[in-house]
Formats: sequence, structure tokens, C-alpha cells
Amino acid sequence: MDKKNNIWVALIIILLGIALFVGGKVLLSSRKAGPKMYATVYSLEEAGKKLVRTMPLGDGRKQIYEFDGPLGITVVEVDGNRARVKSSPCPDQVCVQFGWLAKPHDFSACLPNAMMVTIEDGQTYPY
Amino acid sequence: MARNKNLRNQIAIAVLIGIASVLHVVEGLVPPMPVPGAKLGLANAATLIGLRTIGFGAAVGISLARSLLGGLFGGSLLGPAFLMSFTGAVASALSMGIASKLKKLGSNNIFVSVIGAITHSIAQIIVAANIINHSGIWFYLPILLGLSMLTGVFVGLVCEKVLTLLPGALSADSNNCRD
Repeated sequence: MDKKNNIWVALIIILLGIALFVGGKVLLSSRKAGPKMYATVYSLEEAGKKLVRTMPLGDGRKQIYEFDGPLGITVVEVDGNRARVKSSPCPDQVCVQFGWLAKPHDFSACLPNAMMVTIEDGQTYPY
Repeated sequence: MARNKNLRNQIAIAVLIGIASVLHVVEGLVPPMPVPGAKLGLANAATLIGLRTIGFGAAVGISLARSLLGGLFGGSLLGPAFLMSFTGAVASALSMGIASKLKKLGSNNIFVSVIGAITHSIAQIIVAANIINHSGIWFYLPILLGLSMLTGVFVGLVCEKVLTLLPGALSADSNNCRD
């Protein structure tokens, strides 16, 4: 395959990739928060996910919750209208990298510690 | 001659599995990508090089072995995180094998690498969606697809460079190695 052809293939794919990435970001940020929001913690078990605790958002207080998983304790912080996984005993820390969750369908999942935090508006449960 | 070729292929596959396994582990330590859990996909470069220099079976074998070894090194063997990487790696190898058979673009390393990267993301999202059973994950699909197209181009360029720099070292039908 000659060099010129390579440049064109790469350029087209890169442009398409950037368009998809930006479009996806716009889609993500277009979601609106409902009037009453909840942060919900699930444990991921082989039979499916199990509801562990639902915490209301928006009462303006900062609160720390601890949840026991197979690897240890996952710390969830609720701060005003948002929630996040503050710390986790898992090796990859993907759940912490999800950062603050504030809009419906936002989630942070930790496969190693079998834990998931989601944001729900109390009306739509599409699952 | 046939035996020597066979032996050389086996050694090349072993070396590629080693490289892929190390890349698989090292990539997990590299600073976070814009999407949580996303990786550059350099381990896939070893699969593509195996596909180009040896063949389809070698590519699938390398991806199988590296996700097994990577899972063993990382301690996630047979867990849900392993299931994601395993499915992604194998689906990606299969799709690259099929893409490389295409008439015009099949010989283009960038194109085949991008097909592999996209398949990898889609397979992983399907597995993850089954594990966490949450609709929010589908919002990440376009972002992940866009990102994997970019990383796919990068990995394809890496393969292109490696394949031009190592014409004889990995190729079974080269005359550069003495038997």
C-alpha cells in the first residue's frame, strides 16, 4: 500500500473518529437533570445486580457512605447534586476515574469490587 | 525446510505473545484516557503483526494467549473484567482476519487496525452491558467508537513501521535468517 493512500485512509478515519467523539460528548451533555435525583448503589452479582442503597441528592449536604465488596470497601461521596466513587480497593480505579455523576443515566461501575453507582431521577427506570 | 519454517513460526508466535502480554499489562498503568477504562490498544499491534507475518490462526492464538496471560498477571483471571478483555481481544482478531481479506483496503494496515479497534470496543460494551445491565453505558458507545478510530489509526501506523523495519525477523518465508 503506497504512502499517499495511507494518508488519505488515516485522514478520513481520524476526521470520522473526531466527529463521533465530539458528537458523543454533546449527546452526553444534553441530558437534563430531573427535579428529584437519587444516587443508587447496586452490587453486581452473578445472578444480576442487587439494589443496596438509594441516597437522595440535592439536600446540600456532603456525606460519605461505605459499601462492602469482595475486595474491600468502596467509598461513595454525595455532595449536593452530585455523587462519585471517592475511593475503591480495585487495582484499575476505573470507577474513580468516572468522576462526579450528576445526570440521569450517569454511572460508575467497578467490576473487580462488584459495585455500581447510578444516578436516577425516580421516574424513569429503563431497566 | 518445512520444519524450519514451522519452528520459526512457533518462535515468532511465542515472541509476539510475550510482547502482547507485556503491552496488555503496561497499558493498564498508562495515564487515563478521556473515557474511563479505555486503552490505547497497543497489544492489538502484536495481533495484527502476527496476522500479517504468519496468518489468521496465529492472530487468533496470540489474542487468546495474551488476554489469558494478561488476566493472570493482573489478577483478574476469569472475573468479569477478564471476560471483557478476552471477548474484545478475540473478536478484534477475528474481525481483522476478515477485514484483511477485503480486496482493496485489506492490505492497508491502518484500515485493518481500525476495524479491529472498533470491533474491540463494540464487543466490550456488549459484555459490559450484560454485566452491569444499565442503559447509561450505551451513551458511551459513540465516544468509545470515535476514540477507538483514533487509537486504531495510531496502532495501524505502529504496525506499518514495525513491519517495514522487520522484514526478515518475523517473516516465515524470508531468506534473511540462516537455518
